[in-house]
Amino acid sequence: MKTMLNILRRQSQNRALLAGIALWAALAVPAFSQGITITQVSTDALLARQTTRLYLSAPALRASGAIDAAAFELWESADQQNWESRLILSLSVNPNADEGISFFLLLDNSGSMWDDQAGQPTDDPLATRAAAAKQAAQDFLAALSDKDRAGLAVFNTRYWNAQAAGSEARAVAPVLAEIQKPASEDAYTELYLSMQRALAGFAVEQGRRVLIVLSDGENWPYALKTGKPNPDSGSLSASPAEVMEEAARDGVTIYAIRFGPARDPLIGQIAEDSGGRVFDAMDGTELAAVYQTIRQDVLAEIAIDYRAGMMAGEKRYVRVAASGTDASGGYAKKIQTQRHYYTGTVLGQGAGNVRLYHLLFALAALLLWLVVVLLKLEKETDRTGVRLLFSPAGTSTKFFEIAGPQTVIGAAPDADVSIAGNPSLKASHATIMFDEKENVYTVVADSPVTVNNREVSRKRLESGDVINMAGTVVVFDQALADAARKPKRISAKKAAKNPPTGPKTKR
Amino acid sequence: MSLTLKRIFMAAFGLLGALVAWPALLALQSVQSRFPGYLVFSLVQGAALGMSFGAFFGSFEGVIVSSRPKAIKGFLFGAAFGALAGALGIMAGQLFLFAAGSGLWRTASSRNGAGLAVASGVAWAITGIIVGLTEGLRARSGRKLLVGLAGGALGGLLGGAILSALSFMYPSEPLALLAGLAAFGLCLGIAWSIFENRFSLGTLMLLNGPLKGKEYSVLSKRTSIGSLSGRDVVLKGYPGVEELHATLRVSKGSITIEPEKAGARLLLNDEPPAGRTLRPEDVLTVGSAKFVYGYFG
Repeated sequence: MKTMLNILRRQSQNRALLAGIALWAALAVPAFSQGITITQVSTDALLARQTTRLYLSAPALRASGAIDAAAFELWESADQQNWESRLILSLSVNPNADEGISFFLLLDNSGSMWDDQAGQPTDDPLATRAAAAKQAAQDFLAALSDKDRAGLAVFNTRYWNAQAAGSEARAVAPVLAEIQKPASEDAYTELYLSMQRALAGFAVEQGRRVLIVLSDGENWPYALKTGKPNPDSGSLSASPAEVMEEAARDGVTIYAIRFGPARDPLIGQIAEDSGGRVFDAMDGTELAAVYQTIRQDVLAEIAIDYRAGMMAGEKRYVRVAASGTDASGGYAKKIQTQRHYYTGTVLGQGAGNVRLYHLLFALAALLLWLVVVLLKLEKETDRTGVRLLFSPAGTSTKFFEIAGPQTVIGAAPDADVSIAGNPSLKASHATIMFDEKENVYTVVADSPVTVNNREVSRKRLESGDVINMAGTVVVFDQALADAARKPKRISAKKAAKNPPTGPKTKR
Repeated sequence: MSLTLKRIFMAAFGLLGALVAWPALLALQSVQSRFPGYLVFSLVQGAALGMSFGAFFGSFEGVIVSSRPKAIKGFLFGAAFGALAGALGIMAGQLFLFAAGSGLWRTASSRNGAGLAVASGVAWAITGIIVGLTEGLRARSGRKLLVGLAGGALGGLLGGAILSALSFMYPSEPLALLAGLAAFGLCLGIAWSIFENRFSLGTLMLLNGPLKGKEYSVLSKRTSIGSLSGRDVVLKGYPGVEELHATLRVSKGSITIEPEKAGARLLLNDEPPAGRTLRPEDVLTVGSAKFVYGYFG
């Protein structure tokens, strides 16, 4: 099936992709031609120590003998126009041997991986590319040091994170045996998306991070080719540019192995953009040699720790130059390379310059706060009346003004204060009497009532008194200044006619 | 102020915090190159964020009890404590992430990837908790600290997750930062007010006078009532209320009211309280002010 697909693929070569390759090739830093490559930018210690680490592959320098920090110069830039020199704090030769390397193997398990080396279907499981790839991976894992960590993911139509990054190498090897030939629906090659997912698997790994991706064909996404959503990832997809950006953000180097004659046209560019390399292998022996080369390359790296800058924006370019040997063996020739990486803080950064209108927001907020502080949110009543507080139907805030010498409160529609909804409330439940001359309000119970939780038949009211009439609760409300108003003087004769009405209360 | 209005105000105060925090953070980001390092830069950003939210949340109590001196004092205390809290919160969040084995700075995926919402949410919850504790510390109230703890954790987690998600989706968009901060402030405010009601031992609703309708949650072991602005319940404009009139005391979940001045009018259901425990629907008379006690909202 894969062979047929390969033919179809060649026929439908995407010209836009080829144009993309040409563009990348033109823009790419010709790293290895200059003898020095930044393979990884690590920001592990950026927050705590303001230090960034560069991992460098510099075979030309190593060939010239001892390597000295003084031979290096380093600059950072936010825009590739203005470069600022940075202080190199330390240089380590072969740091990865001491600190270990986190390798993550991403293996193609598409249908064609179960053909033989020539791409022909075979019934002999040991003759398949998959068998060769598993054996080479097994040998590679066996050769890792105790300090190295490993992880494994397998992809075709689906992505299987078989062993998380950071595992012990010996824990990965047995998982390789579990890789089985996929069903035809699962035999597609979700190459770029799987690479992106594998990069995310490094999120918790410290130090040197290396992704080795092995594939025997082109990116051949299920959704694009079938028009149906991928059973594993739905409509998710990833472009080569997105994979490259992810690798730069995560500080991961990608080494790509194109196994067999069918090759993805962009995987090499993705690898080199990430600081890695691309290899071609035709059989198991070549594959084993490639794995060995990758490990030796990474082990031979140099690490430079330098004091990072605080430029605005999260994208940062770093350029490193070293004095290399010329033909006569002297330190005369400069070799240099550059990469970009990303910084950031919990609260983000690089949102651009602050503008005047931004500050207006703060001013508006402070003014609003001041208004709220100065504003009086509550208002005292200017009328005397009763406010419904609770009723069997729930809390209420309805206000009934009291006017005249007596106000009847009850359920009757013609009551002065008519409150509906409580079957226990009598038609005329209580009356509030107003003695204008004494400026006194008195509640007189026609049926049982409580005032401030005390049963009364008659009680002089104060502002805020709570009158409960069979579950309907009202608050007598009167402006405090009105309540404090002195009563008009009345004659002794009138006083005798209207004796004072003190509260008759019982609990 | 009713409970609903109080909740709206609390959420609005969260928004006000966001409106101040936003330009403050943008201003800091625009002078990022002047900072000696990311550590100091992060701490200062945390302090600016904490100060903005702390000031508004700190003044909230003063605003709702209509005490200007208390509001201003709370604003200043909240700003100072919030600055400290924000810086500590950012660092605590970072430390948590390191301790959890998912270094924020190790890769961009850990900072911005799928696990970001949870990981950053936890960091933000720590920030939220410390900011949320401001009012509890100001009032020296264990229950208010509890409210800050629960409200800050929930609000910080939710709001922080939204803030992080927006920062991830629109990394260089100032409006995304504003929206994220607004979500953070809203979540903190709403969560705080929800937990305030949950941890409250009841509410005193003022029934008359110039502050009629105000509701005072009983959260502290001691709640002072009087006409002076420093009291927990400030009764200005109420004849017969002394500077320190009475104190509500909470002991083993029971509330009692005790007079603080001999001869001052203090009644519980029209009788001297005599150490009796408050029950729902009880009417409390303090000078000319009357409250009903209960669980409202």
